[in-house]
This record gives sequence, C-alpha cells and structure tokens, in this order.
Amino acid sequence: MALLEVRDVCYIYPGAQPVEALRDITFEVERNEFISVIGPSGCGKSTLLRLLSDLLPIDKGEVLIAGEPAVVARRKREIGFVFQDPALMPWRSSLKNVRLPLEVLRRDGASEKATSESLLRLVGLGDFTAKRPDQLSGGMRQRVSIARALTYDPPLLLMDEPFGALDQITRDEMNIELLNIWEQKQSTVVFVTHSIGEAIYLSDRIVVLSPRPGRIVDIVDVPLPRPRDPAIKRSREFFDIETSLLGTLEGRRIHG
Amino acid sequence: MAKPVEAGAPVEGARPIQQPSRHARSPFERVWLALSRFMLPAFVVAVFLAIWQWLPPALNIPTYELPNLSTTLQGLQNNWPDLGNALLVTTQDALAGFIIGNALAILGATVFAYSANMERAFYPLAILVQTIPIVVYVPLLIILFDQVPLLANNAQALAVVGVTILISFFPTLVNMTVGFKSIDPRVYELMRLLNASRTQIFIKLRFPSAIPFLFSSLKITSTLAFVGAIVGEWMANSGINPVGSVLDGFGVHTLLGFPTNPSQASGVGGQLNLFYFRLDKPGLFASVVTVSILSILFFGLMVLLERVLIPWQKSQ
Ligand SMILES: Nc1ncnc2c1ncn2[C@@H]1O[C@H](COP(=O)(O)OP(=O)(O)OP(=O)(O)O)[C@@H](O)[C@H]1O
Ligand SMILES: [Mg+2]
Repeated sequence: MALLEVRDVCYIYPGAQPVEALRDITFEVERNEFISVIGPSGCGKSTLLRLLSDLLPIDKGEVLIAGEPAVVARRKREIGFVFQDPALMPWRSSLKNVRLPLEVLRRDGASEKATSESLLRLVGLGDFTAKRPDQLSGGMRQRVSIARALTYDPPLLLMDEPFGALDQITRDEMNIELLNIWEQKQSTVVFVTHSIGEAIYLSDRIVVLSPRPGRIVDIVDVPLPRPRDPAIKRSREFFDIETSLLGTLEGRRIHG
Repeated sequence: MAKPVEAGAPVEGARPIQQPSRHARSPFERVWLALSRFMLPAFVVAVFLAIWQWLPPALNIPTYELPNLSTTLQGLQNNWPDLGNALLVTTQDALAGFIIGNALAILGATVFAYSANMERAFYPLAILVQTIPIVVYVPLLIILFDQVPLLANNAQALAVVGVTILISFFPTLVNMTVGFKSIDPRVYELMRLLNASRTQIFIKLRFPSAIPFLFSSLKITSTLAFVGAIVGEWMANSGINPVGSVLDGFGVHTLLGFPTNPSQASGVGGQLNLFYFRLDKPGLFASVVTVSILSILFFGLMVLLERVLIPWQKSQ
C-alpha cells in the first residue's frame, strides 16, 4: 500500500471572490519515495502541501496517509513540514529550536536531547547548538528547521521550497545534504520547488502542475541511479529529462 | 561514486558571524566612540546646569522668585527629611500601581487569549478607556472608597494607588492582547502539526512572542505610574473638598477662592501642593528635580531589563 494516497482533491479558497486553487489532484507516493512537485508560481503547490498535512481542511476528495485521513495522521504526528522560511523561534538557541517538537510531545528525556544534537551535527551545525537564529546565516537557519522537522521521525516529510531563498551554491550543497539525510533516515518526502534541476536531482518522480487552477499535467519518472553524484547534473540522461520537463511545463508534450 | 561533501561537514565553513565594519577602528577612535556615548549627553546636561545656575542672577532675577541650581539644592537640604519621606511614599504608590496594574493586565490579556468572547466584550472598551486622562478619576475614586466602610479611612491614599493601577493597567492590557497575537504564523502552523495543546501554544509561542510588547508597555507605564502617583497625590491632598481639589490641581482653585488646608501632605504630589501654597519655590524645584531623577532611573531600569532579557531584539 502506498504511504500517501491523494484522490480527486479539489480546493477552492472561499471568500467574496473564491479562488479555485486545485482541481482533481490524484497521485500516490510509495514508502521511502522522494517525489517533487513543480509548477508555475500560484498554481497551488503550497495549497497542496497544506491539504496533505491537514493545515487546510479538504473540500472535496480524499487524502490518506498510511491508510488513514490526514487529520488522523496529523494528530498522530506522522507529518513533518519544512516551510519556505525557517520559521524558528528567535528566543531559542538552535538546539532548543530543534528540540521544540520533542518538548511538545513530552518526549524530552536525555536520549532525545542526544538525538537533537546528533541531528544538528547531521545538518552540519554541531558547533552552533548554542547560537540563536539571529546569530546564524540564512542557510544555517534553514538547516536548523530541517533538523527540527526530523526530530520526531515523521514517516512523511513535506517540504515547501525549503531552499528557495538560498543562493545557487548553498542550494546545491543543501541538496546533497538532504539526499544524504533522506538515505540515512529512510523517510518519504514530498518536495515542492520552482527549480527543474533541483527536482530532477533529488526525486524518484516529479508531479508537474498546470497554472491555476492546478491540475496534474504529468507525473515524470526520474530513472537516474542512486546515490547521486552532483556530476550527474551534466549527464545526457539528466539533460533529456530536463528538456522533456521544460516541454511539459510549456504545454507541449515532447514524448509520452 | 565520490561524495564531495560528507554528511555533517559544515558546508558554509565555521566562520564566526561578524559585524561588517567598513574599516578597522584605531584604539583611539574606539575609546572616543565609547566615551562620546556618555560624554556628549553629560556635556549637554552640564551646560544646561551651568545656564540654570548663572542666568537668573545675571538677569537680576532674585533666586527666591526663580530658584537657580544652588538655591534648589539649598531647598533640597532645607526640606530633606520631609521630601525624602515624600519620595518614598510616591515611589511606593507608583511601584504598587505599576506592579499590580501590569500583573492584572497580563492576566486580563491571557483571559482574552483563551476566550474570544471575553475579548470581544471587553477589548474595545479597554481601547476607549485608554483615551481618557485617567488621573481625573482620583476624586471619583475617593468618593467611591468613602462609601466602603473598610476603606473610608484611607480613601485618599487608596485612590492614589487605584489611579496608578488603572494608568498602568490599560496600556499593558492592550499591548499584551496584541502581543499574544503577534506570533509567526508558520511557527503556529508547526505547533498545529505537532498537535500542541492550547496551553502549550500559549506558553511556548504566544507568551515569548509578547515579551517585546510587554517591555514597550513597561517602559510607558513606568513613567505613567509616576505621573499617576504624583498627580493623584496632588489632587488627593490639596483640600477637604475633592472636587475643589481637582480644580486646585489645575490651578483654578485659587481663582475661585475655595478653602484649602494642605497641612498633612503625602507624597511628592502633596509636598508640591504644600510648597506651592507656602511659596517655597526652592522646595518646589527640589521636589521636581528629585522626582524627575527617580522617574528616569525607573525607566532606565526597564530599558536595562529589556536589554538583558530579550537580547534577540537588537533594534529599538
Ligand atoms: N489564503 C488564501 N486565500 C485566498 N486565496 C489564496 C490563499 N492562499 C493562496 N491563494 C491563492 O491560491 C492560489 C495557489 O496558491 P499557492 O500558495 O498554493 O501557490 P504556489 O504554487 O505555492 O505558488 P508559489 O510558487 O508562488 O509559492 C494562488 O492563486 C493564490 O492567489
Ligand atoms: Mg508556495
């Protein structure tokens, strides 16, 4: 059974002028799969993640996580979320920010404290545990927020353009780290991005959305071998997938 | 396949975060910068004090009409034990009102944070009350307390504390109500994802988010509490007839010829009244100067506390 099943999901933002954000979204994500969602700005990518995590109530359709509705999965703390901005508490040190979920879950024992520290080491911030967010760079803050989302070992990790605000060099480095973490943690990731290259480098499959209202235009397989070396971005296969995705986004089907 | 970056290796390099500076400052420049922070304002104060000391005599204004610095210090010395006691009373009035008023306000805002209906019922009124100059409620409070047998004996003193409570209460209530809502919406969503309880959200998110708002309000109310205490004392102690006292407080009293009996002066406000009617201008000036210094010190304490307790808020 797939870990995440999305069936016929539609969403309309209510209001004086209702905005139809998503229409008839159906896809599945297997356990331990890394899937990306790309599409033009405003097509409903963030809305989709918010529906998957029960931050928005579902109008129509169905979201099942491990066979149960999203509300249940959220209550069972099975969903981790990394936002576009780090969303840290400015009064807490890196370590305390990472430990926040454990405090809320009242799992704040000594072994959990060690987990938080090792997660910070995992994202390369072992020497910065005592620093507050205002003492860190933007990329470092984002890494703290990734470590925070991993503390309670959610089976499903949703990431909404987590590296969107970073420069290309840092972004590439973060991608490498993210793949390392994902391979170590064996989690399932739904990753939203604007960047085609990022989507191909990271994913097993890519969901391509149309402009608003967002509909699924195509779901593209990425048959590149793992573990992936960054040099793969200059390979022939990578380039072919990129060309085909560009075509899909422009509305022309090159193949399939 | 080679991995160019190990998991866990600090990617961005472990450089300490430094403040950017355009050029390195020489030791002399640094000392001057530090000194000028304190020396320049101190110099301005010194010039002001010198003008105050020398200008009235130079213009042939007698110092008993317009006391200069040394006459004021003389006035301080002549009235010392009384003035000292008055300062103590005023500080007590102000502190009691400041602490009780702020504590009640935090409690009230907490109730609002938990009950939207309570907030809808009372918050608009709190904003309205903020526009009222609350010190005019002193005579009203005296009349009110006079009707309560237990309080009647101390009606005037209680009215002064009551007014400092009110004057501290409303700004903090309004500020904290806003502060409890000024949370990062993303962090709030994170708390929801964690299925955090209302109380966890309050303690871990709302309360810390409101601390900067609390301090901006503490800075305002630390000053207001002294205003409330002094004006309250002035009104409460200026005569037998509380309504007359209010008029007196605004200087109308003498014009209308109300009887006054400012014998038992309490607090700096009462003392001011006394000096005013005795035409003891050096005493009057001494009261004003000492209470100004006291109020500045109290405000400074709040600024210091803010610096120490919320270091992540560097601005302001
Ligand atoms: N709270 C809201 N109320 C009304 N409309 C909204 C709201 N949030 C988003 N929308 C609309 O829904 C559509 C989808 O928004 P969404 O944020 O999901 O897009 P997105 O794909 O994440 O865009 P981006 O790539 O720029 O982040 C947009 O057209 C937006 O105007
Ligand atoms: Mg978005």
